[in-house]
Amino acid sequence: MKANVMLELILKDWRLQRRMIVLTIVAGTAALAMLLIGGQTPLVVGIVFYFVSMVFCACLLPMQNIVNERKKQTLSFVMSLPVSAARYGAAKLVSTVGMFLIPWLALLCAALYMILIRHSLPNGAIPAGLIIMNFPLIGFCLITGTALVAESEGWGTAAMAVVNSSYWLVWYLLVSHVPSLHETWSAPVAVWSPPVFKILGVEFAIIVLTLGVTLYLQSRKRDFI
Amino acid sequence: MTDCAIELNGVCKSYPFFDLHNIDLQLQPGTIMGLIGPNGAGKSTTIRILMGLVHQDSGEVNVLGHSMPKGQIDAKWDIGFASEDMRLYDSMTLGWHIHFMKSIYASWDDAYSQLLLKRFGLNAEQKVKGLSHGQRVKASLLLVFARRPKLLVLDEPTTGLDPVARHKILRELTAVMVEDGRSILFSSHNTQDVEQISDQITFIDRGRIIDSMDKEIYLDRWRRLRLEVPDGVALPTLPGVIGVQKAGRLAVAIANAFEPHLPNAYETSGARVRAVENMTLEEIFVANVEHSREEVKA
Amino acid sequence: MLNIGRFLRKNFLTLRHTVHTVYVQMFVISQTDKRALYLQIMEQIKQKIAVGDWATGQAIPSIRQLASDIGVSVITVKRAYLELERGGLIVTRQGKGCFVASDSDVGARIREQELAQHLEHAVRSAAMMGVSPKNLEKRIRAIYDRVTDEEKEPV
Repeated sequence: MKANVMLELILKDWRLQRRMIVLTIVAGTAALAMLLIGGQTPLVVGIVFYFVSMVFCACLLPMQNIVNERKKQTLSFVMSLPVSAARYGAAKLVSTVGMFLIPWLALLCAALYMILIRHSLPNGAIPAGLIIMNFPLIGFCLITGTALVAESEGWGTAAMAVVNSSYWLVWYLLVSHVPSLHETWSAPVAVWSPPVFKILGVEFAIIVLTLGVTLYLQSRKRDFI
Repeated sequence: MTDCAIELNGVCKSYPFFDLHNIDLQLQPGTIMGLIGPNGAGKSTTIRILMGLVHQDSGEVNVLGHSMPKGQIDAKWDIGFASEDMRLYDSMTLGWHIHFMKSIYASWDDAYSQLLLKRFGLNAEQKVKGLSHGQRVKASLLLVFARRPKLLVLDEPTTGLDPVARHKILRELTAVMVEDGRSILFSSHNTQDVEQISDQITFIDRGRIIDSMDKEIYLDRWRRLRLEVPDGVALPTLPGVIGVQKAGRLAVAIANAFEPHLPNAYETSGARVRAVENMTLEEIFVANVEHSREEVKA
Repeated sequence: MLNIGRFLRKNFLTLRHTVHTVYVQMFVISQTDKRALYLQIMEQIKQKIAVGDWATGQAIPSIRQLASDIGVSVITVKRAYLELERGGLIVTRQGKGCFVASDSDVGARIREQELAQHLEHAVRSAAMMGVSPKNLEKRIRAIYDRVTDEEKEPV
């Protein structure tokens, strides 16, 4: 029975990156814990650092998991294994996205816990919060896609820079064009209006499109070294 | 000849500043082939093509019966590859790498890997980032050797190693040959190593194969003749002699297709043959490259 | 050569190691030696036979095994074995392996071959220099007398 090389590669990636994943969860959770202190300043600081830890992971994980294989010259080692470039790319995509979803989901649950159980924020914050949580996820997908397809540190860094500077701009544009977003986020009840669903739908579509295009472009490559 | 361990037929690959042109290469199973050539000659490119890491523009590549690059997954179960620019994972220990290889390859020989750890003076507990260059090379080779693969493809396995380490690696390489049916292709700048352990030598320069043949036959074809040329004697141009250097009344002729009657041919012309010397592979290397480059120019 | 033989016989005939342990230590090839590798190997095999380490009729390592022991290419050992077989010093029996030839005077034959080589080389050099056969004879005789006188003298 021949070993499943793709699985071994994914497990290897986890072994190499797990420290960062754990740190992200710890940092995000600690940031959320600040909300328990009460008051405006801890609230703002906590939310900001919560967001920052997500963004941090969204940037660093693709760079360390994907770009480093080429930068640190371990790619030849991996390609000497019984694996094709297509399978390597697929395994890499699965491991990177999978590893990001772990802290993302964990921190999402932590935030929901803070809102629903601890009442640190009103329930009305949930729709907007979800939309905002998707930002680092989208940003992550874009950086990951760029890193995997372009295979260079330069392009990965460029993607990081573009993505990071876009978060606030996109949020501003959304808020100024969708009044229902900020009208209800202080309400005690979560309001799931049609614009909210539309935005969530667009976010989901962007994620799927980014990953799909990445897979497609990756499978078309011929040379890997 | 599909029972070759490696077969390249008319392989071509174009890069912006370099071309690999019409590469024909055959590695017989159970033999060692040494691939030599100057820097930038195309050794690494050829090796990457036969490993399926780079697609050739044209030509056929067959490794262990699999067509490359399509069959590279199947082929690589039986190929052990190590290259000079390959690195292991810095933050992990050598032991972790061994465990990783074990979980992929059923052919991993634990006893042999323990023996090699001792022989190479390596510590499984040590992180790769703490290893010196020589230790890192030995570690990469250990990961290849302990799998006992049918075919070893090594890009500069002894480059940068101290003489003791080099000697140990050469010992392990020749020990592979005791088992019938296992083959090795390695590229090297160290002509001494190639001369010592290769069954076949392939010479590559500027993207073309210049020579590829049995080592003993190849070394036999090259000779350096030291001649004494009295005044008034003109040295004949003889077939099989690729170059003559003359200074005063002494001359040195390099032959790449030496026949026993060659000295006599010079003697008949009036010159005296003072010595007929074997050439080391390094001397052959330099003479061959210079000669083939002149031929291309002309 | 004879002195070395006596020395080795005195010190190594008593060793009854397995074939392999002795070989790994005893075969030393040199890259700086002007002779080709296969000739060096042939030379050392001949020495082993002449001295009695590899006894007449004894099994010798296979080509692949010896190549691994010495650390050289299989093709070089193959060539050495081929030449030795041509010179009647070893025999290959299909399916059984390689053996030292079983005539009793293999050692003497080796020394005879060496002498023939030395003489040929000397005569060729003389001919190239234009020395006459009579002159050559006179000079050989003079050297012979000198060498036998030296051996008689206590050192």
